Amino acid sequence: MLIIGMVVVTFLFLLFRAYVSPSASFQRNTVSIVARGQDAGLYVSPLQGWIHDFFHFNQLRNICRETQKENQRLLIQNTKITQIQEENNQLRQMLKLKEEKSWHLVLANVILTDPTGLSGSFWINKGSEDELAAGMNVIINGEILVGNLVKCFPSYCQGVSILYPDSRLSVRDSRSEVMAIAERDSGGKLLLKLVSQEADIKKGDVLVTSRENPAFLPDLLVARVGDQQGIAANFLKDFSLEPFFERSDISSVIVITDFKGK
Amino acid sequence: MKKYFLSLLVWMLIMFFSVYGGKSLAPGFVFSLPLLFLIFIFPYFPYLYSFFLAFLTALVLDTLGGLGATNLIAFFIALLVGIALLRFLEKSSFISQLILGEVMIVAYYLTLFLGNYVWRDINLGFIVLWDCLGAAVLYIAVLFIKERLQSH
Repeated sequence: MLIIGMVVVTFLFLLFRAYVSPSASFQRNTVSIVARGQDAGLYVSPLQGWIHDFFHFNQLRNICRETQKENQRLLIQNTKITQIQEENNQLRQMLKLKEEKSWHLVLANVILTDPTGLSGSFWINKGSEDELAAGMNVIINGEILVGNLVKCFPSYCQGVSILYPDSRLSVRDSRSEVMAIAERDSGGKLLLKLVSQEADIKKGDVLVTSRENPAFLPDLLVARVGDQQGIAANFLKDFSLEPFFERSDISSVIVITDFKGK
Repeated sequence: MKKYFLSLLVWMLIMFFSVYGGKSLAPGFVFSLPLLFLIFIFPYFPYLYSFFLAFLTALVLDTLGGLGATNLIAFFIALLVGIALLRFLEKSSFISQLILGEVMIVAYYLTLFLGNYVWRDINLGFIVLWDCLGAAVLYIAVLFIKERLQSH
């Protein structure tokens, strides 16, 4: 009877120790411990693993909790690294552009856009203190034209996109060298207007800014030619255009500080 | 005093949501929540307070929008139309509220369109029409929900 009582007490003590007593504090190497299979029940014999887990439940629970914390920390770190990676890519592209075109470029973040959705104006977090001025062209990666700056203050600037109401820009077909006028239609989309019947413009052609634009540098990507809109009474045809930048995916832009009006 | 504080709080939330809600470099359809908010509160507050809120709203929208002071003029004209209509309509009736709100929405967007077209020589095109229709439909929906909640 005494022996049975001692066995029960010992068992209860071990159980208490396993479930209630505090275990050693978690260290940063928890992930590697779990990865190696230690303390996680990965043993040669399933029974051995089960017994181990049974008597080390508290420790396993702590490891699990700390792993969750570690996971959160890594997620935050991952987000930061992704942001840095994106910025790094943009800076690399800027450097490449600088070398190719000998432009002076400034990287800026889009902080605000037009809340009414009517004008397509935007605000960036760099201003005249960063040597930015009205008239400078704004692009995104790959020399895609976004618009230009219209007002500059010491620490921020206002810009308008090429989709600003009534905006017009002279474009050139990069394949056939045909010139045309791109303008915004009443629905807010870009159209290639007044193209003669003989003009060699096809769906899928890439349009770049021509040298005739007073406000934009030449050879910046504008849009891709879409479907033909129909033939007008004056036998000129119109094409829909697909801008290279989407409505809402731009968080940072590049400002070209060398511009014609400087 | 409490209702002023609450209305200011809601106004600030709506403005915050409007300004930081989504980034768009291209023009497109947007629900004008500040306008709807002003239409809903203006019969229950002194006109001066409504004009003050409209002024603050227009200050934000015109500063960020880049279309001159057209929002300010449009808000003021919409409010003036609303005040004029309130002389003939009863503000507690569902139909009156419906007419009042819809006319104010049309007045706002019509002023915005004509103001830009005449004053600034900018054709805002169909975007204004879509925005107007969107605001009108949303106003009816919110008014209907409000009516249902009050009747229960």
